[in-house]
Amino acid sequence: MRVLILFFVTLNFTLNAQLYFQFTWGNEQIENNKKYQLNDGDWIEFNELKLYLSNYRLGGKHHELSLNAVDLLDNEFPESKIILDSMNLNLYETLRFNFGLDSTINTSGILKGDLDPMNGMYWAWNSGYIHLKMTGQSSLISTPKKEFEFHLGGYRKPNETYFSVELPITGSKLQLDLKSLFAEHIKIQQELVIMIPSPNAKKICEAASKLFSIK
Amino acid sequence: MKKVVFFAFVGLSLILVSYKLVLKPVPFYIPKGWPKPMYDFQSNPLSIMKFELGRTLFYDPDLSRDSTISCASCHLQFSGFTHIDHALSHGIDGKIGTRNTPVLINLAWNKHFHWDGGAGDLNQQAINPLTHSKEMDNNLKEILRRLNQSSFYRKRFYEAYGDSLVSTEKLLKSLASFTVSLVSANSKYDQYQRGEVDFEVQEKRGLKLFQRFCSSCHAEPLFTINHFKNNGLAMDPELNDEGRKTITSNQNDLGLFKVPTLRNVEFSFPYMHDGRFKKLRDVVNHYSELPNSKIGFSKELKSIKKPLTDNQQKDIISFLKTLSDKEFLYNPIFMFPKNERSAQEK
Repeated sequence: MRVLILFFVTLNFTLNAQLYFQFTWGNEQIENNKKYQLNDGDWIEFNELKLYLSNYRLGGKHHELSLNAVDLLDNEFPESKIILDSMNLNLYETLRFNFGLDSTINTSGILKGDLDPMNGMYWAWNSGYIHLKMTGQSSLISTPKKEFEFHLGGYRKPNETYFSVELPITGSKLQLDLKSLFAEHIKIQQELVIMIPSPNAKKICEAASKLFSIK
Repeated sequence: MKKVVFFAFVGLSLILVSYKLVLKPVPFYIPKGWPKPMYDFQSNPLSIMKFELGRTLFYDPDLSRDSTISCASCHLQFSGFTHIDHALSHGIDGKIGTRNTPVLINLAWNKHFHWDGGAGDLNQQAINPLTHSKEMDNNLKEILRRLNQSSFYRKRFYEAYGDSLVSTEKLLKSLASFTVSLVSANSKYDQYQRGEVDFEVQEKRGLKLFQRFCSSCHAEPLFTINHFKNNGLAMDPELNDEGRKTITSNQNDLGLFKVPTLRNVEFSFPYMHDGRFKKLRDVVNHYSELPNSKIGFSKELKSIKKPLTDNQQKDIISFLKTLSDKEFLYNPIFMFPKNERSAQEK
């Protein structure tokens, strides 16, 4: 019986595999508007988590596949977080993709689907997209509302915020660990708000692009 | 015989319908001898229906949060589609912005939009004024909700796109269809270039001086080179506007602003990115005095080695006035549309 189940699970994985994206706090999947522990009893809560990934490349010994897709991953909508659907992932060993959107996509003038400016990820004053949006509250912040707001994006050098990521395919969940990001790369007491392309935005996005894993 | 009449009737109706939908020419054209437009017409093939829809939207205050401000509130046709007499424009609730409203003239040849070039595509540009808190202060979801609720617009969008559902893309491309069609190329200067009229002696002297001192940035026939330059204005400490640097974060871009076209400049006062000069003579005098200035400016302006004489300045202004194109400024096809929707819906 156990063999049979394993067989079905394997078959299912082979024929209908999905790669599903998750924001995580350590190993825990993040839910919006729920408190997560920082060090020393402090907490953080996210109201909004949105991320653009684009231009997937699957590589294997005998097969390669390029998908010029753009995905807006919104933590509020689980259905937005399926990246690759109905794929035979067994054929491939590595996944490459862009964290954010390169300058070609940023300037393409495509105004629909995941790139519709209505999605709240578009900068009108400096036309281009926010690549990672994180807003919420934390007990570390001393302002009355304890709010932080990160609109991280920009495609122009030297403050471009898109980065190539390459990972071995070892499972079906692509995760981005925000616990490491906030513990090691963001001084939330000092950097409450970032709203423009800047060296700080670039630094955080580059750090985030190195915190993906597939499990 | 009946059949012949019937087919003649059907044929005639088809011609009339297709004239309205297809054959009626769009107002956009490329004047003879002009460079290739920068606008990507493949991204938004023009049609008279899209142009008319864009025109209606351009004049519709319902696009703003409280239905008081339309695009045309700050872009008035008879001034070259700018906000005449306003150094800094006021948008919603009378809030004052930080820059002088730019003219909307020959936008098909523009590579950058806004004084700092923050918008690189005419299709995307309109999002800024529609959503800016000091301009129309609306959001795209609300605008689309209003448009989708309007039977007038549903019908117009269907005619323009074959689909009545209003989306961000269709909204923006309709507005761009109108603004890209604002071609001004029939000024006295153009007629002189075509050999149709002659210049006065003073205008001819002005043209020569203009070509010597001004045209490295305001190059003919567009009267702009689409670049960003420092024209030697001291920064207004209250506005603290860093110009192009705001967009690029590049220190070298501090104080650089887009070179505007000078077409219809006689009527687009006040002048400069913050509207600090009311008269053309103030502008020409500013450039003339640059050799004595201690403030840095772009190298093109070093062609002015010593201040221009009063007569030279008057000659240049006399030439600048030949760039006025009354046909453009009063062209009824760009005016407030007669099919204005409030008239139909009420």
